[in-house]
Amino acid sequence: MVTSSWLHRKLFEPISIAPLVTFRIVFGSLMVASIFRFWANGWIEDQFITPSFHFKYFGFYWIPDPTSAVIYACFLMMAVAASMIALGLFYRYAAAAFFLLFTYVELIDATYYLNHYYFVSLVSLLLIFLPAGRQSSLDVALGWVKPLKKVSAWSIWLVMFQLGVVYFLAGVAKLNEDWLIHAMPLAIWLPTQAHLPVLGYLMEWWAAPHLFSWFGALYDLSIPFLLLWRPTRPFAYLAVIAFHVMTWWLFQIGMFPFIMIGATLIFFPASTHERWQRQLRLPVWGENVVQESSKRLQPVLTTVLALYVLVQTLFPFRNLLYPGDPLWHEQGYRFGWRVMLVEKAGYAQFKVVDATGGELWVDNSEFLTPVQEKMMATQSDFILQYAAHLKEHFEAEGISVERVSADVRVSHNGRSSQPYIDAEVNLASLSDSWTNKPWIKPLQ
Amino acid sequence: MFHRFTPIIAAALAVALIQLSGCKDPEDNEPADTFDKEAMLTNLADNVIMPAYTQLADDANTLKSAIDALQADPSNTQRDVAREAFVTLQLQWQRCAPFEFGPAADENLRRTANTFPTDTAQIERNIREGNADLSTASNTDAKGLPALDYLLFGPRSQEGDWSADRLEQLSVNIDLLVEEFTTVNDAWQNSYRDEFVKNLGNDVGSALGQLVNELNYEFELVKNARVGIPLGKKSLGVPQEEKVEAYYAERSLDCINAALTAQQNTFKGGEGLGLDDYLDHLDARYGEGMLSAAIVEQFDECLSNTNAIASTLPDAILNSSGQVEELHTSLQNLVVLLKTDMPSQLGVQITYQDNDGD
Repeated sequence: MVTSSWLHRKLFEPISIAPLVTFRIVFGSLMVASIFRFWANGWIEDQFITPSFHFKYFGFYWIPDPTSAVIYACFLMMAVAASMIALGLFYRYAAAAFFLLFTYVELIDATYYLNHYYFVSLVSLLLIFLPAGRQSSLDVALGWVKPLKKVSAWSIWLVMFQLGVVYFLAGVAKLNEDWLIHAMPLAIWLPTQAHLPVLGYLMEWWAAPHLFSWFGALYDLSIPFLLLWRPTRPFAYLAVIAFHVMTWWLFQIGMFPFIMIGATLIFFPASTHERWQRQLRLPVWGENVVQESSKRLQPVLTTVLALYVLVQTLFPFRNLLYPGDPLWHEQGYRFGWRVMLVEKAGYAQFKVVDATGGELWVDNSEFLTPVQEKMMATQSDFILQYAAHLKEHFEAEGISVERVSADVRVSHNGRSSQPYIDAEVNLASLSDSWTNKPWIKPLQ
Repeated sequence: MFHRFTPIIAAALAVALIQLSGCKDPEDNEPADTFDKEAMLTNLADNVIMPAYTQLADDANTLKSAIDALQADPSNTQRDVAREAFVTLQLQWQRCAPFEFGPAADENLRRTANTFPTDTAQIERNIREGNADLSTASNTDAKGLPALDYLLFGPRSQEGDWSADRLEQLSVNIDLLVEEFTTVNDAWQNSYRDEFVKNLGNDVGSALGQLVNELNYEFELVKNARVGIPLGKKSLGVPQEEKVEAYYAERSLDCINAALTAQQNTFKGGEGLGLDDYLDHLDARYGEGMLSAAIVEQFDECLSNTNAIASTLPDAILNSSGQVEELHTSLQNLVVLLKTDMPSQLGVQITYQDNDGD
């Protein structure tokens, strides 16, 4: 009970709301920018309207595909909701709306899974429950909610924990032979940037991939702690900027670097945030108002927080429950902060066999976009969904589909292409589950 | 204090680990020197791509003159002159087909010039109705090289049955090709070449990205449209031999040979720097040997399987399908090297969309 009461005291200790206010404004603004960038690049059309078929996440097959009007409306509403988060207008409803819309859009097609989209979903879920709209917001200005000067410490720690998880587990994921010993995939990616000014010459240097790999792993593993510790914090934040700007420059990773540069500001002390907010003339209301939290609810809240932390810590490691190299079979791979770990390309030749033994070779480009085809050829759950889709398609054309099989070759982190699955297995007779897929061939 | 020593410790660790790992020993690793990507692109532009387009525009003009002469004198002699010019143009097209980016993509050149099998009923309708506008949606499958193939080698041409409307349809088609080919050739000559050789990234819009992705696309057309579909791969094994390219001229195998030779030559960069040299520079391996050698050899195998077929392709599909199956298998093996090993060694992207490395 001693630890538990100590923990309670710490979790519910009132601390300044200022870091949370900065986080709300920065996150909301970056989301607005991300949505307009996505829209302006034509990706709503490319990703959600052009494809005639969408890959789903296991357990979310029921997610409906949007019409073109619906998907554009989703993005418009997301932009509105994100602006409202930044402004603190109907903050809690805006956060809930943003979370639901963003997560729905992510669930439409698993082809486009990115760890940072998952991160955005999680953060917007947390924001619903954080009192980030209780200061320097329109809600307060209009008198709809009471202003707060101080909030329970957990609300800021939770965001720090979420950011720490992203970095630390991304670092843990790098502790593998390909990354540390063979400097893969950076040994492939860096030389492709040899034409860049200044840094280009470095990219061609034989030791560059090794140095980048090790520094990358070291950075990910240590940065949450270096940001937490006051003496190292300014240097750590400079490293955050340098690291993310570098990755933004070298790789096609979109808004993620800026989201992380903005989000990690939360590690700075409240006094720093208060100074920034004064300089920006952000209005502050109320006199030392402290967030009330009912003593009866505290144990419930502590339990919920503990569960969240536990799930976020353990769920990414579920891949250890599958035999073989998770970087190859990718079972239990998503939602685990495994980023930039693999360079791979696959080719999948599907064959549909009818009752008379006639064989039909599938041209994937008739069913999938190039991006979908690339993702399908290297991910076993997509292979199953595609096989089921082909069976359905050809049966609708009047062919009695006996079996669907596929010759899939994958080139993985510089290795020669090799069979990814058993080409003899009837994929149409299988359905996806969380159990191991024994028809995935081991990595040679 | 930790932060001050972190870089030093890390650097020391780095040096130690590099020595230990031994997989990149600088002493015996000659690709440490840099590769001039711009020189490769310049070679490809100046010695492979642009000469091909210039020749294509010339060959189209030669066929146009021959068709003009046939219009003036619809004799079998003039017909045979036009036929010969057509075959030259059809084969030259194969040497340009992999470059469907930049000016060619702007013109949607492949679709306009070589959509096959052609819709002969629509061509006959155009002749009957005196329809000279090939840009309509109904004519998507009834124009370009396959239409000329039908008009110059089809049944009516054998009988020397040349109505004015039929000759006019020939003329409309070759005019379209002359215009399209000249436009693309001019664009390369005027400004696109410089744009191409300076576009050094590896994203989908870079010169390398477009070259690799379009080379692969065209190669898959050899495997699927030129061989697989006629062989019955999309019709449960029932042959569709009439769907071959250059069906009426009976030059399907020559087209395949020309296409594969051109694609191999593009890969090799002709006599100069090509994708093969770039892969070698990156030390790209396949099994025990070099990936570039494996790709060149597999092209050779595809070519020798093509050349091994003695009859016409439709004939072989119906009477000695084993040989065509063998060709198809060798194409299938090459597509794996071209679509998995090559792009992943080059780190070429297939989309602008964000990715986080998986």
